[in-house]
Order: sequence, then structure tokens, then C-alpha cells
Amino acid sequence: MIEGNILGLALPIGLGIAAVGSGLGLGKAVGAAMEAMGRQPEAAGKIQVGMVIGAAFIEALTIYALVTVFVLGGKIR
Amino acid sequence: MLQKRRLPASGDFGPGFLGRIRTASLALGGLAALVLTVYAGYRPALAVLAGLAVSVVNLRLLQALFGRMLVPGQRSGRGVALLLLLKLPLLVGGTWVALGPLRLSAAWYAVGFSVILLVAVLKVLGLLLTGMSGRDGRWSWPGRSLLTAVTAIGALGGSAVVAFASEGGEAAAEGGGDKVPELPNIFELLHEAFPDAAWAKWLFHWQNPIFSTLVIVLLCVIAAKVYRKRTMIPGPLQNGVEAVVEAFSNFILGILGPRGREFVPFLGTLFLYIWWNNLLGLVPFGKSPTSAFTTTVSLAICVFCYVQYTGVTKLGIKGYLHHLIGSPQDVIGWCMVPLMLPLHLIEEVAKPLSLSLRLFGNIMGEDVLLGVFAMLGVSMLAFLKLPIGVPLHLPFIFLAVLLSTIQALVFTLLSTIYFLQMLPHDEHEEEAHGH
Repeated sequence: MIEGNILGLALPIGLGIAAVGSGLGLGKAVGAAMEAMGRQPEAAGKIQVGMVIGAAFIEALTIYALVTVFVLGGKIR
Repeated sequence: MLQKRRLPASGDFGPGFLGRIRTASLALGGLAALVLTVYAGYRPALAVLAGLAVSVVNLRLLQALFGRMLVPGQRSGRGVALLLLLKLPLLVGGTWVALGPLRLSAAWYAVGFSVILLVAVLKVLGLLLTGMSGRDGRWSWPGRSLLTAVTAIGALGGSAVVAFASEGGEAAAEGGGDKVPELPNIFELLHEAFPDAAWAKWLFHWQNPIFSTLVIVLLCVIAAKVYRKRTMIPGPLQNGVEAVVEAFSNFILGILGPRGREFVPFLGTLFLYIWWNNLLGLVPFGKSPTSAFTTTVSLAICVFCYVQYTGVTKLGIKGYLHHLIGSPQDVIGWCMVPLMLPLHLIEEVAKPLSLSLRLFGNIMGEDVLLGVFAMLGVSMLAFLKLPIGVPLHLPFIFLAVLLSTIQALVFTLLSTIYFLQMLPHDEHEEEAHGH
């Protein structure tokens, strides 16, 4: 019983921590991409592709945490 | 654009406008009464109808009043006074009769009375929002598209909520179970309705393959239809398909260069398939097959096999192995081989894993988000004991449409990058310089 309750606390907090990290990373990546696009609007297409790939990689980390929540979520009592 | 938009002309608010409000309110009230008779008995329905009747008569009087007051030819003080005198007793008397001797519920009477108000407010809002119906009664272009979008989204969300409420309302009120809340699909409902039937169980078990087969069949039919009847002056369908194909092909060729042409069909199919699979979760009674790990992992394994096959055929066995050990050029490179080989092997295995987990997690998260908010909406109205809910998840449907598209694009984009890594590098460099 106690383990289940601890899970109920730990899963959201863990997901939140992962989201904070991803958020910081995404902010940096997208900010830099926007700046680059502003400096070189003609290269916007290429920069955007790179940015989306990078964003997908960064965001994947949060998704892993989310998957963990789905897997362990059923054990919360 | 700004000049085109005009404020509502007086014609929009004329007697015809009031008449339209009356018709719409009667239809809406009648429908509400019908639903109430089924779910709550005939007395609430009667109360709603009574309220509606009083308010409709009231409106009719108002209409006459406006006619007397506003139309120059018919202006007459006596008529206005008479109508105003009639209005008050009607309102008070009607309400008294309904609530007193008839003992109808005051709440439902108020609901019936306010139907007309609701319709009027909605109609005025609609007129103001959509840039007005034209003089000939046709909607302007932005108005029409907005109306269509709102109606479609509303219908999607509404029916999903109703289904959810009728199926999971009670379970949700009791605190649910271990089940992750997702909007129910048709097979789940069938399974609930016929828990013992073998066919329902079979359908429920194979729901993901069935849904993705549906997508495949749809895509095939559209492709075949367009391909069979190619014309120089394309119809809407051919036009749309050509636009999608051309845009996507340009997108892929922009990354892979001209030699990427052979991968465009595979990647394009991947994109369309995943995209439609994601969107299927937003269709009422549908489910995203991509919200199951089995679907995404099989897609990722397809990509993995094709990428390795491309590596072996394009680079040759020797080149492929050279690539796997980190493409060593000098002595230091060769010294790093024991380190690089396991790294590359792990990377190759991690690619399909991260591909599938990303898609699965995103779509699953999206569907659960919709389900949770729909459940909140249902539990808000649970005290009514009716199969309705507040469609709280509507704003998230827009988000989900966006997310579905982006995730399909990301999956395809990453696959493209994996192909790019497997293609001979030098050639690519030359081409890049050539541009």
C-alpha cells in the first residue's frame, strides 16, 4: 500500500522535473533558432528543419518520463 | 479585408430575424423536451415547453410592439399601450399557471423560458463574429469556414462526450479503475454492450489493426481514385492530393538531395499513414492505433530494416561495416574502433526505440489528455444524471490536431535523417557545394 502512495507522489514530480529540463532545453534551442532565422531569413527553411529535429530529441526525454508514468500509473492505489 | 466587413445591417435584425429566432427556439426547445421525456420523465419536459410557449408568445408581442413603434406608417400610441398592457399579465399569468396549479418545476420552466434568449444571443453573436450573412442570405467566406470548423469540432467533441458520458460516466464518478481514461471507441462500446459475445471480444482485441486497416484502405482508395482518373485540369481531390505530394516531395528532396527520390514514396506513405492514424483518435468512436506501442514499434522496425538495407546496398558490405566502426580515416580513428563500434551498434538499436516511444508517448498523452478533460466535463454535470457533459476538452482538440501533424512530421523527418546518415557522405558534400 505504502509503495503505491509513494508512486502517486513520485510520478508527477518526476514528470515535472523532466518537463523542466526539457522546457529549458527547448527554450534555448528554439530561441537560438529564432535568432538565427532573424539574422538570416533566407536560411529559415533549413534552420527550421534542424530546430524541429532537435526539439523532437529534447522533447523525447519528457516523453520517456511520460511513458514511465503510463507504465507505473496503474500501480497507484 | 476591413472594408469588406460591415456591421449588421438593419435588415439582419428585422422581423425576419425575430421569426428565425422563433423557429430555431421552437426546434431547440422541442428537441430538449423530447430528450427530457426520455431521460427525466414528462413533467420536466412539460415545464420546458410551458416556459418556451410563454416566451414565444412574449416574443410575438414584442415583435408586434416593434412594428408599431418603428415602422413609420403604422405608428400608433394606442396599439403600443395595449400591447404593453397585454405583456405583463401574460408573463405573470403564464408563469403563475405553470408553477401554481400545474405544479411544474420552476427550474425547468426557467430553462424553457431562456431557450429563446439563448438562441437570440447566439444568433447575434454569430452575425457579429462571422462578418454577417450577405444580403442574399449567403455567408461570407471567412464566416462560412469558421462556421464549418466550429460545427465540425463541436460535433466531434459533443458526440465523443456523449459517448463517454453514457459509457464511462458512472465509472468515472466512482473513481474509475486502473484503466487509463481515453475516449471510448466503437469496439470498446460494443464490448461493453455485448460482454459475452465472441465477435465483440474479437473486435475489441483487434481494434488497433482494424483501425489502421481502415486508414490503409482509405488511403488506397483515394490514391487509386486519383491515379485512375488523372486529368489535365484537376478536380478538387486530385488538386489536393497533388498539392500534398508535391509539397512533401520537395520537403524530402530538400533534405536528401536529388538521390532521395527513391525514398519519397516510402516516407510519404509513412507520413500520411501516421498522420491519419493520429487524427483517427479525434474522430468520434475512433481510436488512434498509434496510441498503442505495438503499432509504433512495428513502424519503427520497418524504418530500421529499410535504413539498414539502404546502408548495405548503397555503401556495400565493406562500406557499411566501415560506417559502423565510425568511418576511421587515420590511426587515431582506427584506435577508437573498440569504442566506436559498440556506440554505433547501440545507436542503431536506440533509433527505432526512441522513434516508437516518442510517437507512442505523444499520441497516448494527447488521447489521455482529451479523455481526462472530457471526464472532468462529464463529472461536472454528473448530478443531472443525464448522458451529457461540458465539452471541456474542445480547446485541446485544436492542440491535438496540431500535435498529430507535428508528430507525424517528426517521425518522418527523423526517418529521413537516418536515411541521410546511411547514404554515402562524400557525394552529398559535393552536391551541397554544387548548389
